[in-house]
Amino acid sequence: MKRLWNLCLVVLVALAVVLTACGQAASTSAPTSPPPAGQATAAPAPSKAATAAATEKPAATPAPKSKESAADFYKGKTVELWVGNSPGGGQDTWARMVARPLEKQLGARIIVRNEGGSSGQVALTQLRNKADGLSLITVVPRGPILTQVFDPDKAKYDMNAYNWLGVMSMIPQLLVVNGKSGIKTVDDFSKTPDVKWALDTPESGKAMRARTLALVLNKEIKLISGYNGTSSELLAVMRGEVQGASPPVSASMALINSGDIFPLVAMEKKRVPELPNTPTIYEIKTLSPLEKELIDLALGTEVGRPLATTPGVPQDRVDFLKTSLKNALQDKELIDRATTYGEPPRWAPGEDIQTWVKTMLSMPPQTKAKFSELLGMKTAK
Amino acid sequence: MVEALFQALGNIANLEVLAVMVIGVVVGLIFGILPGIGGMSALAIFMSFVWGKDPVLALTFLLAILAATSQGGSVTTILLNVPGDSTNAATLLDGYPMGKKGQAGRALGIVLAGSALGGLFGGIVLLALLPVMRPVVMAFGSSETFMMVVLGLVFMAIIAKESLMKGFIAGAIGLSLAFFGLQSNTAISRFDFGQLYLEDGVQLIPLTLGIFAIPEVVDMMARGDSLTQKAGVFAVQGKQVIEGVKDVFRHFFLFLRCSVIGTVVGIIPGIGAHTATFMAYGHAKQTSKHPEEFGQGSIEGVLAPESASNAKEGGALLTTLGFGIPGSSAMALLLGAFIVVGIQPGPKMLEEHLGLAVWLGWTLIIANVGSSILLLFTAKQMVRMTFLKARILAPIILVFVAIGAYASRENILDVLMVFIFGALGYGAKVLDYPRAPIMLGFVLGALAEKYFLISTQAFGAAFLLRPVTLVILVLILFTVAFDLRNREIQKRKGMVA
Repeated sequence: MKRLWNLCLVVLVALAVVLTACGQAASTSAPTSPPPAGQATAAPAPSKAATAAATEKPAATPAPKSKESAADFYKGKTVELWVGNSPGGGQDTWARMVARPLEKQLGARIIVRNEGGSSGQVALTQLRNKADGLSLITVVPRGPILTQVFDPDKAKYDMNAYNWLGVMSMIPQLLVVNGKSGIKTVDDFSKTPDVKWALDTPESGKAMRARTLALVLNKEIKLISGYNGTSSELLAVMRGEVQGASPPVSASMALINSGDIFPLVAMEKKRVPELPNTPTIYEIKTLSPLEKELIDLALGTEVGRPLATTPGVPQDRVDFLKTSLKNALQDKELIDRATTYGEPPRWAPGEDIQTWVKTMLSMPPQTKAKFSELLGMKTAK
Repeated sequence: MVEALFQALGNIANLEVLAVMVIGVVVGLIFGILPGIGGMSALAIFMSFVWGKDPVLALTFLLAILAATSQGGSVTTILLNVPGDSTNAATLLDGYPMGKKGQAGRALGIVLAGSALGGLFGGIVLLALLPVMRPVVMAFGSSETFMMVVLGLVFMAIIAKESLMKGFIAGAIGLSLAFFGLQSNTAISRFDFGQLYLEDGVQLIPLTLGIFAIPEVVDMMARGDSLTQKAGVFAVQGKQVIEGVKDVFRHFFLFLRCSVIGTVVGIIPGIGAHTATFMAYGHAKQTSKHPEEFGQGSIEGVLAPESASNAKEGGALLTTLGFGIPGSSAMALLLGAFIVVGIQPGPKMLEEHLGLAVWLGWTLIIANVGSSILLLFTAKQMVRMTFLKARILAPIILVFVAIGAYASRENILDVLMVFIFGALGYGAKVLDYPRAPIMLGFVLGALAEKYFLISTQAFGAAFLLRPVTLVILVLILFTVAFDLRNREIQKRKGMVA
């Protein structure tokens, strides 16, 4: 009995040591789980929470300026750069590439921290109350925003309240096929029977792009989900296990250059500079207004790799962070690294993301219904 | 290619390169020895240090860390029955029992030699296959991967000692834990009880630490004294270590077969490092003349997983370098490091940076051998930890377990899960259920479901008739038949209840 009591004490001490050392408040409670974004259901009527977030509450209410100048504030401090997606992925890679040049601009030390979970929702939830400006976050915003749009009661964060500093890079997307399949044009593809498409999850951006292609070409495409990311999907295409995949340009160029895969369509508004001969989705045929609207919806969720700081940060610090980020993206070493990676820096102001978030959260019901269909539509029996 | 082989080896003459390799090995050993804080945590921490550094130096450093962590983890596994890294779980089965029999030195000798030679084997395969790896990697698609995973599940039964039923029940518990969270094919979240934490499913590190480490800590506290009643049971004598090294050569063909298993599993992306070690263990047990000794401190039971564990990194690196597709979770992190230093792995890398690719193969070999040599000189000092009283050692282990669980994702709930799974592991230990199948079932369950769904969607039932799939299926049937025959023979000899 005494030993059992000693053991309990040891366990409590161990927990206390970990909690104290890591500065993690035990009272941070895990929110209830939002469902996977974009599950194929009828679009719900906009809930009060979504309407309030978009219209009644002011977006990202600027906090008052602090007395100390922002530059002085950050000098010598430690800033955490949270990555809301898995280590080794594009978001993580970009965070590590931008960390050093951003350190120079801020005069602070930056620690990259992976807090992957539920496509970034865990990180967004944990950071929502940290208002000192010492936490930055980069996530692929698509998943979290769709959860907030379609299941707002379960999203414990508010994308609208975050201070979006800017976009570091865009992620141009492609639709590719096997390079040795003989498919060289969209017409060839339209005539190919039994097309199977590799995906990660059925409600992802990749699935949406595949469904968009199927809609526009009026063709059945069987979506096969479960692959472990872009590399596995491309390997499946190369093996002939599936006929197509929806990778980003950065992951595809090496295989395109070796002839292993062929870029069929660029899911962009303009042609990708690296692939001037690849038509965009808007160019493959004369589009009806409905088709154009659906393509706009699909492409509308691709906003690149944004960086944000937490809600409630004083405005002068937000402005300083924005300027620092923009300057950091001009660092020569960063440009070289990012270009080698296949995603050269492409700056866009944070206001663009802020506007996009507001637009998504105030989506009218009929658009939401079409969007929901695009997210979850079955394209093959 | 031959010229590139020797030119790359010239890097070893560069003092800077040698220095970072030594530092990487030391760091890797330290991280490996600390329970729960394994190769992944080490890579994640030190990746920040390589920004802007010369690619050869940066990648040598990181790969040396990776090569050394498994060996470091084996030390903790053998001496304390606590896995240093989750990939050391298979070594637990016979490593610690060997120590309890007074053969800790011999077990460490097997680890040193088996790991070094296994890493050498994996490195040689990497260098040999670099120019021709494409057909090898292309041969294993989703249906072939599914069959390999099923083969791994079959070994779950083989690993279970006397009671097949208890092994299956433990494996079923592991399988059911694998189904928590978001299912990747359907994006449906299962058994999350409305908690965001569980949407990502049960995590491997808290599970491993919970089911293996916590029961040992509880046992230590219940016992109260030191792990060794007298200084001597776990004492590492030079002679014993040499004997362990010789054991690897005495069982050389077993070592070769297990290294092949490790390398092949490492090449196939998506199967997981743990599969290699348990498959090798299961194969060793199945082919052993004394299978009844497994679980009691069998030499073959330590040699098999150690050889496979280090050989698999060569296979995983092959896929990573040649296709830019990570062959393991650690390689996924390493892939990020490649990008950070300005190298894009893939077919182009072999054209533009063949020398670097070859040098990384050498790094694996040299770092494995180097960490074995370093362990050889420090083994005696490390064993002193077993002389500590349990009331001192147990809390220390507990704190490192908690830190290790937290370090993986910096989520405090992972620490809580360690204790919840600890209760499960302790219950299994008390009721004499094997714990290794829990982990194996967990690791393989999700993979089996995922690849089965992909295979049936892509090929229908005809996926079973694909050539390589069919070969593996035949191998599975043969393995099952062979195991049943062995059990029958043992039953007749009265060795199995």
